[in-house]
Amino acid sequence: MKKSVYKSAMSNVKTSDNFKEETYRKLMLATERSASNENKPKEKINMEYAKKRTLTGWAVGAAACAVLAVSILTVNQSVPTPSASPQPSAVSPAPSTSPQPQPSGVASKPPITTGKAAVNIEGVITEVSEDGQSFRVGDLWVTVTPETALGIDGPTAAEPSEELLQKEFKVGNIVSGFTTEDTSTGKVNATRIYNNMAPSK
Amino acid sequence: MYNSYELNESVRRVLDLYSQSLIKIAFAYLKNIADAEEVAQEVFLAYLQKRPAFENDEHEKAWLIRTAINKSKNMLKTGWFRSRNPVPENLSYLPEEENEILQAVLALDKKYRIPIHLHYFEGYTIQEIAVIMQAKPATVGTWLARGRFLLKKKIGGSENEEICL
Repeated sequence: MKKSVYKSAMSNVKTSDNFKEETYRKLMLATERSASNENKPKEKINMEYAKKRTLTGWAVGAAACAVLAVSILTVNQSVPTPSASPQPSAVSPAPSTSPQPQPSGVASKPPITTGKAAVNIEGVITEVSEDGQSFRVGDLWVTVTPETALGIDGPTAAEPSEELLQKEFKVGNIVSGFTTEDTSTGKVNATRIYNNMAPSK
Repeated sequence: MYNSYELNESVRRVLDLYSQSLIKIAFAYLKNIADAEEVAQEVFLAYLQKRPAFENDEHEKAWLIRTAINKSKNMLKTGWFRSRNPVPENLSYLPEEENEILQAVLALDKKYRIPIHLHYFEGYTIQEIAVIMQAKPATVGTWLARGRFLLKKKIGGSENEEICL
């Protein structure tokens, strides 16, 4: 069989003498590079950064919460509790108001509309004494003395009226008032009588 | 999975076995030895990186040749390859007959010269070439016949004479 001329010609085409060695060197270099790239802990570094960022975020958040909590506590402590002044009518405005802004104005001088009246005498009069100065509300006998204050005073108090505060205590009238004495004894002197109203018809 | 020693041995083996085949198929495609060697290196790199599993040595060789053809095509498409005006490969050192035949084959359209190369250089049958080129065997037969016909016209010879490549 005649040898193929084409095959012989192709076989005789010269190629680089060091092709194999050069190629082998390049391949090994590529392998080393890919191996070193695989060994690089890129993800781990990223995770560490992420962790640090998270910790910083939490620290800043906690610090902000702490500052907020301290400021709220400070404000609350400087505001007087309502129980400290049971009768808002007793709260009188300051004799002289300073035009200068007060740093803790809210705390030292609460709005006058926020006051509450302490009431421990309330109900319908079921019995009145002969002198008309004592009456019974439920199980409690209440005596009105010369020291007993009548009506509501204070900056927001309504004008005294006969309708709301009748002079005479009658059976069936609705009364409300306050006493500093122990109501469990069954007989007390009234400190203040707010209302003494005839029942509505 | 290869260990380092097996990897080195595997690379050396394919380099020894298939370097010339890959350079020559790429040369048949690109008509330039330097480009052909570059393509062959890329093929070996792809072999190393992908580490495909082969049924046998023939399967391995066919994969390498297919990859070399694909990479040669890719190189032909690149802008820098198209834009340049390379000096034709100097094959004057070859014997006159070999030089004439080789120049005639390289002058053919690539769809004819690649089957001719695979048939006359690698010794593949039409069916094997069809598998490598992902074409029908009848199509490959047609390419071979037309290629031979064109070569006969160029090289010369009587009509009934079988061309000898």
